[in-house]
Amino acid sequence: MENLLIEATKSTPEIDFNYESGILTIKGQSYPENSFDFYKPIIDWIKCFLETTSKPLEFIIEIKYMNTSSIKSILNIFDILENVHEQGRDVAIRWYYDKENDSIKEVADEFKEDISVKFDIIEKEYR
Amino acid sequence: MLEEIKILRLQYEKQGIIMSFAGTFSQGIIEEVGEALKSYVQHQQEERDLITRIFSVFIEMTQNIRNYMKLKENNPQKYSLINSSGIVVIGKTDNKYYLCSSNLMENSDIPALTKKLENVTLLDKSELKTLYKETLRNAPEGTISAGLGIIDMARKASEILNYKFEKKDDELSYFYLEVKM
Repeated sequence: MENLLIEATKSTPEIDFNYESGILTIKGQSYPENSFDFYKPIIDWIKCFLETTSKPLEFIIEIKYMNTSSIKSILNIFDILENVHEQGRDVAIRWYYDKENDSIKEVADEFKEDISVKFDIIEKEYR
Repeated sequence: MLEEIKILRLQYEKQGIIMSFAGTFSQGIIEEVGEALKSYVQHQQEERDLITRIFSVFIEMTQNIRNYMKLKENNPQKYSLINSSGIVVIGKTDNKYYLCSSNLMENSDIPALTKKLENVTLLDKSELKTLYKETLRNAPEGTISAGLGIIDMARKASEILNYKFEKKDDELSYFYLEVKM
């Protein structure tokens, strides 16, 4: 499988999915006009990864702001991870948030409440 | 026109208006005005949490309008009226920020929207969180609906959402929404 690399824009995050390492990173802001369209190839890539290899998957999120339809799309991703986790697959989520701007932490906390996948919410200092 | 601008300026000052936009809401406009708003509020040295909430409500409010307009694309006559009707105004009075929007909508869409708005005005913060999670969970794939955005705005607001419908004719009405923070 090819890696997935999508550059960030003002309203969409950078996507850096590495097939070899199994580390999938989403970084930036997320408020696209159409979240469904934006996240579809991302979700398809994740599904393909999970089907074509048994490697562990580490999902790293460093999103500073998400609109509600992005939250729905991220929930769809988490549902997929939760599903395979229940089947014994090695998956983990790490969510980094800016110490200076922690309102996104509430979003992360709410996701974590409803998921049993290993989910670390980590404060980070951004220069 | 000079006299009109003076009247507008006085109105702006009286209402504490910081920024306003009227016209067609493209994603580009939403991004630019959103960033300008965020910069302005940051410059006022407001608390981080307030800055994010203001930006967040702005995005949800304007994207709701944009999504509604896109839904109406299949009806060219009404669409051109609806599409150019969006207004958003941001201001500060009595130490509170307010975001107001206005747009035309079809009368047939009013009952469903009213129901969503009435729902959120009845709930406290904890009930809103529960409704939010339920709606997040149950929204069908790829739907464009104002529901989640409205609940999110209600959660971020410091007062219950204020809204009103004003009939224009048999087909269309103006919808006004105010969120205070």
